[in-house]
Amino acid sequence: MRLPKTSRSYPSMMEEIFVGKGDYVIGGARSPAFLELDGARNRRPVVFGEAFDSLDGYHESAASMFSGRQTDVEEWSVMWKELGADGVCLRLTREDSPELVRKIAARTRIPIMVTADTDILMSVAKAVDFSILILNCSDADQSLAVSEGSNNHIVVAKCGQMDPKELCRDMASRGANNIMVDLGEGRMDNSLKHLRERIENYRLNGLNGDSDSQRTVLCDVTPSWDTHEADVSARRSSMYEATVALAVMMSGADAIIVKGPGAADMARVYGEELADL
Amino acid sequence: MIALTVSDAMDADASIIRLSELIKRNASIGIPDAICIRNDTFTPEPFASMTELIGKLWNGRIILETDDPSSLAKAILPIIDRAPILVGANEDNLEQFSMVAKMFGCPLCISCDNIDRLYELAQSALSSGVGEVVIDPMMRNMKQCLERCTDIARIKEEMPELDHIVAVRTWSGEYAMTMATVSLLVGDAIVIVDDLDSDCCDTLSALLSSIR
Repeated sequence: MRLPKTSRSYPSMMEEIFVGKGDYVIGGARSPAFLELDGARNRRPVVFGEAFDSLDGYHESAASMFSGRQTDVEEWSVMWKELGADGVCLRLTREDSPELVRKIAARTRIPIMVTADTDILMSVAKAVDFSILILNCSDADQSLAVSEGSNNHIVVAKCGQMDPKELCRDMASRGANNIMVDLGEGRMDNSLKHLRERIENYRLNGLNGDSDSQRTVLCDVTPSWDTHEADVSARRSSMYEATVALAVMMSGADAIIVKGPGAADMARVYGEELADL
Repeated sequence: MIALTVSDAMDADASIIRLSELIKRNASIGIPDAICIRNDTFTPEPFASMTELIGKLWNGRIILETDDPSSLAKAILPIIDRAPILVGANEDNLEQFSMVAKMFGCPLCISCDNIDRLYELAQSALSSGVGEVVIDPMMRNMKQCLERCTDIARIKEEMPELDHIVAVRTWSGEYAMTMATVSLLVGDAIVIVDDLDSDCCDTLSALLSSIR
């Protein structure tokens, strides 16, 4: 029996961005995620572990996994590096955030992503010039505002249900030189199906030559913890989070943000195996 | 479909405990939705006894796994109206397995690690009168699972007449859950796992509800 040829090739590739001191590369895909059949390159998505400067409202079962070091955001960040995360996503509220980010970037030497209100993000962007940060925005308005003072750091286009092309164009016109797109949060509920389709289509459009759909894709899977009641075990939460991470990575997410070290480890190992590293 | 395995080497008490646990899990989270009875004793009698027991207590799908086609007929008899999926056919024993599958009207799962050859064997079984064929490309890890399931999904897109469900045979624990996850994310599959604990079953159940 003669079976059809199933490998495919694409005329374009996704954008590649450099973070940290320029020694970490994200993106650059030239096939659907991980598919050797289509000539995938051996590169896995990068994993950012989240750390807060305040533990108000933070999941207790997640806190229990950091051996007390979660009470100091600098120590927490160092712990993420020790755990093997590729980067740390700092969720900041304090006035001294610029100094804190400088200290953490210098001490950990891993890529830093920052989530904060607009004033803090802008001041962090201005204060840090020795490492390329990812300025992770909470909505489209903030993405536009931060684009005006991004200081050549990477700005996340938080698209929600918006058309990513339109938002990225507006951001670029306001001065953002480097952009990642966030097409939605990774949760273990009905929204996951839609999110996967959105990420897959975005990548396929980019690979097929749509130059407005070639940004690297970031996905925050920490909301997968919100599915559970407060008394859920850390193991079950981590398995949900790792499974959502795997689902979005297989759709084409180039970078993910995770809450638990278990999920970070699983996502990294899954990524390495699927990328044949 | 996600099947957990019960060995025919288990003693009666252990098998009842195992079965009641699986029934409870199925009722609360829907997984497993099938049980695979495996002929670890390599003899027909315990295989048939275990099948009879499970047939009486379990209402979901049943899979019978053995290397020995002659053990199959005895095991099918107590559950003849349940059309169990027969696992164990390969290039060497296809003729005998096909005969049993045709005789009892059961779906037949054929294993082969060469995709071209696998489709040839599937066509041969269908030509011999087997009604439904499930294909097992013998995937051993996540990477193979992604590549081969995608390959098969694309073959089906190009040649819709080659419409076979894929079977994924894997071991136990979190890696088995991940194999199941990868295959279910690529498409529909029958995942046969040695064992999964309740956290793994719950996670797969939540994933299926989220993506289907």
